[in-house]
Amino acid sequence: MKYYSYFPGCSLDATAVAYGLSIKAICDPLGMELIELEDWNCCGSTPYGSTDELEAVCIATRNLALAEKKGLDLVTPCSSCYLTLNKANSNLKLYPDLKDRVEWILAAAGLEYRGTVRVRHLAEVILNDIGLEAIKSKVVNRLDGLKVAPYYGCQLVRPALGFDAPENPQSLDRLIASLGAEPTPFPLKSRCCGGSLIISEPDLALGLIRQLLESAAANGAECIITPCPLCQTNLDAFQGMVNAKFKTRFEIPILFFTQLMGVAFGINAKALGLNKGVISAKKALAPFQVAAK
Amino acid sequence: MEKRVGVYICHCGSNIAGMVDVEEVTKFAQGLGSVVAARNYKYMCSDPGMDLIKKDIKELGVNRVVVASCSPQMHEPTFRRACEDAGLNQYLFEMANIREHCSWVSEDRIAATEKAKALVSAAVRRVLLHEPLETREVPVNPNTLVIGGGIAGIQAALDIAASGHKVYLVEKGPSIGGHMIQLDKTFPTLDCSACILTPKMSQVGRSPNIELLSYSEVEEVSGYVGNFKVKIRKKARYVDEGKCTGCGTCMQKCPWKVPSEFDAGLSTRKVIYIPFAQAVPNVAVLDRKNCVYFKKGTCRACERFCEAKAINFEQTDQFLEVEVGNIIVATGYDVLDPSPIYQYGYGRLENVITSLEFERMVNASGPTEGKILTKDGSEPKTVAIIHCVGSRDHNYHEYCSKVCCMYSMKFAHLVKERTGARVYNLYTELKSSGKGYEEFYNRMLDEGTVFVRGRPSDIFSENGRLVVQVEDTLADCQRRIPVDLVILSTAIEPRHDSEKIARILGLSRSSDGFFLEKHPKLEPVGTATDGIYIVGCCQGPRDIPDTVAQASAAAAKVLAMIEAGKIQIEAATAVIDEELCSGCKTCISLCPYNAISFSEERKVSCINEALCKGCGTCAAACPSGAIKARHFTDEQIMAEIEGVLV
Amino acid sequence: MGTKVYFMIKTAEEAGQEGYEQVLKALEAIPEVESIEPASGDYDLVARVDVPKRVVPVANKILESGGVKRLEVIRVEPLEPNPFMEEVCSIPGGESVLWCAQCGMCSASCPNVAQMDYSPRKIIALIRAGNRNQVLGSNSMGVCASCYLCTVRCPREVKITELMHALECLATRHELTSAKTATPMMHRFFVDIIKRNGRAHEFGLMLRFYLRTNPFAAIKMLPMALKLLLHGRMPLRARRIKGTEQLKVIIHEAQIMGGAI
Repeated sequence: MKYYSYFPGCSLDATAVAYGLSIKAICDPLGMELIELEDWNCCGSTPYGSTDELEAVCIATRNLALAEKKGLDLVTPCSSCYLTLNKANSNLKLYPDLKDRVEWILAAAGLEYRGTVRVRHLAEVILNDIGLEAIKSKVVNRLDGLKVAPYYGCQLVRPALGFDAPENPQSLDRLIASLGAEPTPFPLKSRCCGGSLIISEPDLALGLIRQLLESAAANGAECIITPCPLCQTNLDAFQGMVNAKFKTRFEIPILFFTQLMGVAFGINAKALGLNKGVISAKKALAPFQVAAK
Repeated sequence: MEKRVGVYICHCGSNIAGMVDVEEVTKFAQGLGSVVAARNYKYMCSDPGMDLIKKDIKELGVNRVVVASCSPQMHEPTFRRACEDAGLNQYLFEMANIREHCSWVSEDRIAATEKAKALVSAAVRRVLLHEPLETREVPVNPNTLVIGGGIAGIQAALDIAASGHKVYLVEKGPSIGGHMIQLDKTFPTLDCSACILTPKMSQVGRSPNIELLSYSEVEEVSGYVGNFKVKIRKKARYVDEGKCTGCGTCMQKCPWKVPSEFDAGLSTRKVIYIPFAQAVPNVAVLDRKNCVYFKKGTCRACERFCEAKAINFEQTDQFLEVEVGNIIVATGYDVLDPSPIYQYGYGRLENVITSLEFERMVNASGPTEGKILTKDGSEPKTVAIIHCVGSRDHNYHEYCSKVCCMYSMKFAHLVKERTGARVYNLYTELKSSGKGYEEFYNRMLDEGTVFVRGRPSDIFSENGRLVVQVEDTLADCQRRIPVDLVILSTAIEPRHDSEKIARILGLSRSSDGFFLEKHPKLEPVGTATDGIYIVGCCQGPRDIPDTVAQASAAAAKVLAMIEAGKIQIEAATAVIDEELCSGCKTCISLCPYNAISFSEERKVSCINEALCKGCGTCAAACPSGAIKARHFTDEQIMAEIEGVLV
Repeated sequence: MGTKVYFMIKTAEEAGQEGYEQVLKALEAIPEVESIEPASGDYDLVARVDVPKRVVPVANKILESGGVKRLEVIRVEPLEPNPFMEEVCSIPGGESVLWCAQCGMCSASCPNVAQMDYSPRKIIALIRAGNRNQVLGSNSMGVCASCYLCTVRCPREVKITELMHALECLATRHELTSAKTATPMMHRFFVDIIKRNGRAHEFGLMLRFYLRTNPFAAIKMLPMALKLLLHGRMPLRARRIKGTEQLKVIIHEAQIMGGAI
């Protein structure tokens, strides 16, 4: 059994509820135990980092200070949290003056962080710690013939933290293949979906989302998987708005990679939150006899 | 014999005297034990300054000299010579550095003067323990080894051979010519590269003083300057060099084709082949790795049709050992493979090619007979040439590859001349600083080349055309330029096997991977190892004029040494007391110059004094204390330390 | 041998004249402080300090005097008078602006460059020219999607995305944000919610944001929002952490410290 501290991130409770469900469902077969970090706070992400650098680093480091006490790797399924927490770690190492300030501030709040926590993304943990061979061995429902486009999103692979190639990553392609499905070519696989700009600059973001859907569809994808909660929401919940704005007719279900794994492992739809998608995955997954509950 | 020390304190103008009270130090020195004369002077390194020393040696019987002045790196040889001139062994001299180590790093005059006193005291105590040592002379073997048969190696070999001395020219490939023979025209004169190189190549082939060992590699080098022993592997061509007439019949008859290295993969060659028409030597070579006879035991068509009966499948690699006095390394460069630069689509998109591929395409002897064509066989109407691919880029190579701006402009000219296409040169900085280079740039402007200042971010394929995405930083707008052909001006890289070469020759490499010169300003062709020189692109990217100049420079140095006939070996080497040596061999693995060997009969280590550089590592490491570093004995160093502390 | 830094100090209004004088006294008592001058605009005092190695111990001496509402540190390298350049260089990640060769790789790679007042490369050029208001008032930072394509491709390792974040921090702090982009406002609401609850709340954010900026746009979003609500993906109530007090202390102390160096 592999143990990890777990940092879900704010969206796992809200728009990415299905992510949380499917993660829980596949932990057992993969031999992983994710222990939720007690009383974790929002990492701050881009909005706080663009408001006040010092406050942003401090609230992110609060989580690291809490995690340090547990002594385990801190694993998060959210690409933005992964980036923000790693950035806090590296900035504290690179800028001693910043470190002094953060230490002083945390001490005032009764916290201490010595810089020993390793922050990892769930996808990287599954692919490196569990490995494709182990995953293959748990597949009972091979997804033969299912054309899946892997959408990595930007913050998982950039800035390059060593997980995968920053522009042409391949790890999720290999994961799809290990589940028996066919990874389709996707030239925009690591391009941005617009993230939170969908709220403040919707026209811009919808344009980006449309390009992504078009590229995936043009290469034959029947569904798209992603490891990022913001990407899933943008491509899924806003697919209707893309269609309305650009007169397109996309109907591509957007699944979390953990949901696809769950289907291949034979887990039922309810446990995987498959019904949470705005664009339904029923048609795409019909050949694979996914039990309802 | 009584030891009589003369101490000379230099003002060095105001460099030392401005911070150190030289009068006080002189008075102090006078009071030290065994000091019979203490003087100070404005510039000790000048003739009058050195005369002071010589006079005291002759008249006062001074037999130990201390000069307190600048760094030994500056003037130790100068003062040592002064001593020798006056009849005193040069090793009975010691320098105290009261400039770089004292006046130049102090802000407090009192502290600086005290420090100068301490340094002088240390030098005096030390010099009392110096022993007279003799430098030795070893003869210099007049033969020279040149590794690499590109323009650098060819030039060096010709220069040395012209003196009548023998040169071994070792070339890894089947023919000399290097990368230069692959080029079409050279900037800025647009001379045909082969036309200016082939005369030199055939000169090499005809020269009685050059032994050309083609299709050969250097395996091992041992020895020291003036006396190197080199083991060379002559790889099997499976063709008898003496019999082959270069008729090319075997090439015609061979049924198997593989990608041609000479054509940068743009065309094919046969498995038995002569790399290009003007090859020197003009002898075929059989590529064993791809030969179907060696793989499956069939064919042998070449053998059947060879009229000269030159094909010999039984050939094996030959080894020969040569003795040379100097080695010139001219191993050249490799070109960056831009496949990892995903956004440029090399290897993914059609009609994105590298500069070397374009050189071959535009060459009359190349795969398209000099026609510039896209993959579908038509002439491009627009061409983009991207500068700095993999150069000046922290993601690949930080350095500038120096020649790409010039050849990129050359390409612009060739494209314009042959196809009339619209050419875009996408650059960040234009480097055109050689003779005639800026004028060449002006010519390109006249010809209507479109220069866009910006580093392209992506090359896309859209509706069957290539589109280059770039920010025009001067016009301050984003541009998407549709083109038919993209040429990537790729970086020059160190040879991919340069680590192996560095190891065999004991060469250092700088952080960019090129071989390290002895001094970046004053010794660009020398290396830390005497007798080994580096010339051309193996030291760093450069153009042909600079390469040729370097080759001749190294040749001149080699000839100077051959002319002198003998060289001095530094006397401050290490010496082993065989009675104390326990035979533990600790010193052998530690010696960075491979100067120590083990004598099986006497079961002790022995130091080759000619190789020893006196670094002292073995002396420090020897557990039995059997090794003494001459001129740096424990006693001498202890005395120096005492002098500073007391 | 130390660096010169400027301490920009804003005294707390509640402390009044007495508080001001206490801060002044504290400054005068510190030997590293070379000069103290009144400042106009956002700050009350500016002190030039010759800092031996670390800034924080010196800053603490001033903060301990009480009466300081905000203390911002600006590190000064011997550049020509370009306070904006120095301001940017003093932010962690901002110093990479010095390495830019203006090659334009960042701008050409940017997916949103067409909507920016100034491309990323131009922003850096403007910083180097010292055009503070032009840069901080542009919409470029608000349109940046933080996709980091510029950062991984930059041949000089300039941290462009981090620079964008830093610039938006400065623009927000000095109330210079562009009205052409709603992103700073969205960020403000996001941050307000975190400060209060310790967790983000998408529904709360969208509600406040659309009511404040463009209620009619909210109508366009309504169908999507409803769908999310019906799928249980849009909790109406905000989540709250237990350690809200602890978080408040952290934020309060950070606000006084001011600035990231």
